[in-house]
Amino acid sequence: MRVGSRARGRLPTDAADFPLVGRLQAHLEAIYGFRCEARAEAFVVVDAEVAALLGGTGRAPEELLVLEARGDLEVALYLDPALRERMGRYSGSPLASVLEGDLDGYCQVTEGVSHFLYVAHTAHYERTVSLLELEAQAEVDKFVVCLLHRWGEGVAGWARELLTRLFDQVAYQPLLSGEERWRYEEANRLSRRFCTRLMPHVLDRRLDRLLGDLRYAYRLGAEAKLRHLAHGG
Amino acid sequence: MSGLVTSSSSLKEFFRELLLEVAARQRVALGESTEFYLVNLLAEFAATDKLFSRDAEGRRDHEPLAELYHRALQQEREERIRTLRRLGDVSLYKVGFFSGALQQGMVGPDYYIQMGGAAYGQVAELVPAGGFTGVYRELCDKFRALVEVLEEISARGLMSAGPEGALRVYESWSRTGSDRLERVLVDAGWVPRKGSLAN
Repeated sequence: MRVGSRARGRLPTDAADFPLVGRLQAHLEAIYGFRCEARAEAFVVVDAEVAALLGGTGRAPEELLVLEARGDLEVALYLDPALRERMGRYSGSPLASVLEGDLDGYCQVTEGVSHFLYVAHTAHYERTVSLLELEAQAEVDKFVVCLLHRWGEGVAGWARELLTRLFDQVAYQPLLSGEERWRYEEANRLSRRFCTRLMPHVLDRRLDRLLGDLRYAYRLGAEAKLRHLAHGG
Repeated sequence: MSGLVTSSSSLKEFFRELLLEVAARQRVALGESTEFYLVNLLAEFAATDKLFSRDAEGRRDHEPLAELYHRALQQEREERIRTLRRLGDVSLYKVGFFSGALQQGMVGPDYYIQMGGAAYGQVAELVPAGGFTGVYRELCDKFRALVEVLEEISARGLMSAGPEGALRVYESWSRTGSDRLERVLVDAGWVPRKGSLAN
């Protein structure tokens, strides 16, 4: 299976438009220890109308639009203009300042890049991926990406704050269908359990163990991954 | 590293401070002209793509060291000096900044150290006495020590570029167990100081 860009060449998808996307992909690749040939910034779509034509629902500020056709996987990453504007305010500042100023916006972009990378990764290994798996992985990714910005002394407090803000203080879009709502809640529950199990490594500042567990879970597929997130088995 | 800089002069200042700090920490004494040469080298390679040559289609390409050396042997004195100096510069920068990648390649870092050190030595013989002779001689004599200085400069630059850079340093340290990289990680708080209590 090949990941292609359905929107390539049609839209202003220059990396300079959304440099954060490239940074986040590099960050996730460093965490999980691989490099993906496809670069997310080349797949970014910022026009809502085009996103709708590609199958976007328009209900979220970020959506990964995927179409499988004749063995190829065509992908576009929609990030709405308001999100780009919000993130653009931090373009001249150290990246860590985004965490202070707009953690929610930063996590939304992270979620989009996480979806892109995970789909590309599973497509590379010709595996199928469920929406639940995709959402749960994105929740884990948001936690760990933010966590590593403040890795070092004092990270334990930040990790606890992240657990609360990312997993407990959650609001869901009112327009979600029952099935979508269940999926987001289940992804939240699974990823919360997994991230909570990572806490001893955070408290001991054992980066080797943290990365080892994250990489192991990332490479598990489908049911095995969901079981592992839920129970560690 | 490009995210850290805004202009050529600030880039040079950035590297100068880093070079002085790291060289002092590693107890590598450098002549003033050699220090100037190294700052220019670091700034030039970081700000441009002069590390690469271009192939016929204009694509970036790595020119093999052996090819550079072979070319130098065919050239007249002035051209030979230029080619050998490039051989020394490219070797020093590559082995200092990309030693992790070189370890996985067909030829390891030692090959670059030998080729680069020898090239600077030959330049020292070829340039007129006085002037820059001493610089090239020092670059030749201290090549291995300078590689270690550049490795630490590279690691500190990566650490300040964000967590993805820090993770790259961490991976290199995990693979090599380098004391220098460990010190960089400890200084930045990524690895607890030995004997200290975490959190």
